[in-house]
Amino acid sequence: MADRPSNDQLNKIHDRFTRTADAFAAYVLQKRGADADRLADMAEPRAGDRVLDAACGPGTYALRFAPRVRSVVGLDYTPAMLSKARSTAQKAGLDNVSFSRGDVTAIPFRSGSFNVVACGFSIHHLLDPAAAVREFARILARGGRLALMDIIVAEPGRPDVNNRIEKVRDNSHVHTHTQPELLRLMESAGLRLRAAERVESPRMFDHWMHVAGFEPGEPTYEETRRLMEATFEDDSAGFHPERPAAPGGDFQYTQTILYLISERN
Amino acid sequence: MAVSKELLDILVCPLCKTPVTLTPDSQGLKCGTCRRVYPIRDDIPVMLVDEAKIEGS
Repeated sequence: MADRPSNDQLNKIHDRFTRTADAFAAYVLQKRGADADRLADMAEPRAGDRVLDAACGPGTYALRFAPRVRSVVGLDYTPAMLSKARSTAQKAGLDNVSFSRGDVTAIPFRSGSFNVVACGFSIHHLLDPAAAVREFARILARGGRLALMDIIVAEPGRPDVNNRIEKVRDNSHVHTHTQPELLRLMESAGLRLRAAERVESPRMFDHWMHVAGFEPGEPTYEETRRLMEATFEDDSAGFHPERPAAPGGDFQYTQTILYLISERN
Repeated sequence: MAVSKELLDILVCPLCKTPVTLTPDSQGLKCGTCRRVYPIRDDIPVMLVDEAKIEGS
């Protein structure tokens, strides 16, 4: 297949989430569980459902859906993440979760085999998100739901300014969408919107950098910080950053997260 | 913990979407159409085209 650019991107994803596996898994499993529960509530899973956690990372959604449904499959590209997910599932005593390594733009499952596909914080890492959403639609059964959540560029932020900061911080970042862009992705795959919710999630800058593997003083930290500080005045990235109490101190910014539930007819 | 039946029932080749079957040694999953064999590592199927080997016959 002529997919070298895509493989370069997959290599970046593999490297980022292997290098930061411990910090990333600790963060999302502790802090993103409530988000996962909210997404699971919105998806309204039934006891007999089969659920896919697409780009499952350390199993954030897989673990939250598992007690509520018949079975869950976690799919991810990075072996270090699958190891984390599996050991966490085993420790939690969940015996209805299984895992496969794969690429969300070429999913290794039968058409119509899932009732729910959950995908969180992953679309912004993909070179071809439309291909992934088409695959999600393909593997959903009729009436099945795609439960997708991701960061979005919030008003008055500009996508170019926002994404420049994200890409400097994380070279596996490709593109944070706007809300209309994400809605169009669903519609283009033939999925019908059922629910949309936006949540503002305040975070501290230094911890955000830590999760990406960078500490104060390191060039990537300093460059990302310089770009973020340049938006204090006009909020041109849409991160709503707040000036630190003392120069050089840690500061709060806000991620805007969009939860979308769409349905396959 | 081998690959679960639940998973084997739904796994297909990511390229041609043909259902894959367990190889006789249970170390791989073979596509009957394009003849790619996907490895199983640490009990996890590796369903990536770049990691598959094309098997004769």
